[in-house]
Amino acid sequence: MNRPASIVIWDPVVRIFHWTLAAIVLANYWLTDPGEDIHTWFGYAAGAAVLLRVGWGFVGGRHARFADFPISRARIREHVAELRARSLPAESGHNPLGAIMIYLMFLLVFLLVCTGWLHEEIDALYGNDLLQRVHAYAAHALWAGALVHVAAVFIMQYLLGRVELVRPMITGRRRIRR
Amino acid sequence: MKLHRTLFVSISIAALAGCASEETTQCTSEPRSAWQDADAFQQNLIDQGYRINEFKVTDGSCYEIYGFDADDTKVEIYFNPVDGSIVKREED
Repeated sequence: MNRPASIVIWDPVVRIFHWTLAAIVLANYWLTDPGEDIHTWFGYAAGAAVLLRVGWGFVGGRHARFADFPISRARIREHVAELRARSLPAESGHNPLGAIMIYLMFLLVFLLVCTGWLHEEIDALYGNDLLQRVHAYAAHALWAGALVHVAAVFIMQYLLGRVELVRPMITGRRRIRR
Repeated sequence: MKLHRTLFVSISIAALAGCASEETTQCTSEPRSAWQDADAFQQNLIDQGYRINEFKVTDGSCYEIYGFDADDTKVEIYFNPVDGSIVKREED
């Protein structure tokens, strides 16, 4: 009766990255003012975190690697079939739809860092209306993405997937029902 | 369930804190008719040595400029459009 009751899903780098990005997105969207130094530095920190995560996607643990969550029609079909059956494999990491969201968010962070940097560092672009608009729309899109992500997590955990998602992102381990 | 409760409470607090701090800089409650002329206002700043990159009228009824002051400091300034006083000044 010594079977393990849980399995490792997310390594510490993935988890620290996830919560760092979550905190920065929350802070920079709701708490800090654009133009404040802290907003700028949070933004650069988020950019650096994404770069590190991309690197980790090549050398990290099993579920951290990009190769573990490719996006393809076949994988999306398979994933939808698993959702229909209300059973996701207990050891699964990122699903292909989640993978699309990940790349979209990385792209938005990159866009935010670029437009923010240009606005602050290139004198001729300081106050530039187009840059501010692109920055604002990207920020709204990122926040919307975060809301969709959170909603999807709870829908997947309790309704469609019936698989623990929140705990593994905190402790790294998923408890297995037997 | 303890984990969920902790998570729920912390997210709620963060969301509330966010809503509470979400306010735009308000410069005046006077009607537009009482405001200084926008062009004359900018010209006055230029005469004082400002270089204006961008001039905006904000949702909080401010005249806002991005640019450089007479000391060549990069500044974002919110002005009261009625009396021309500085409501908020951010240096970059």
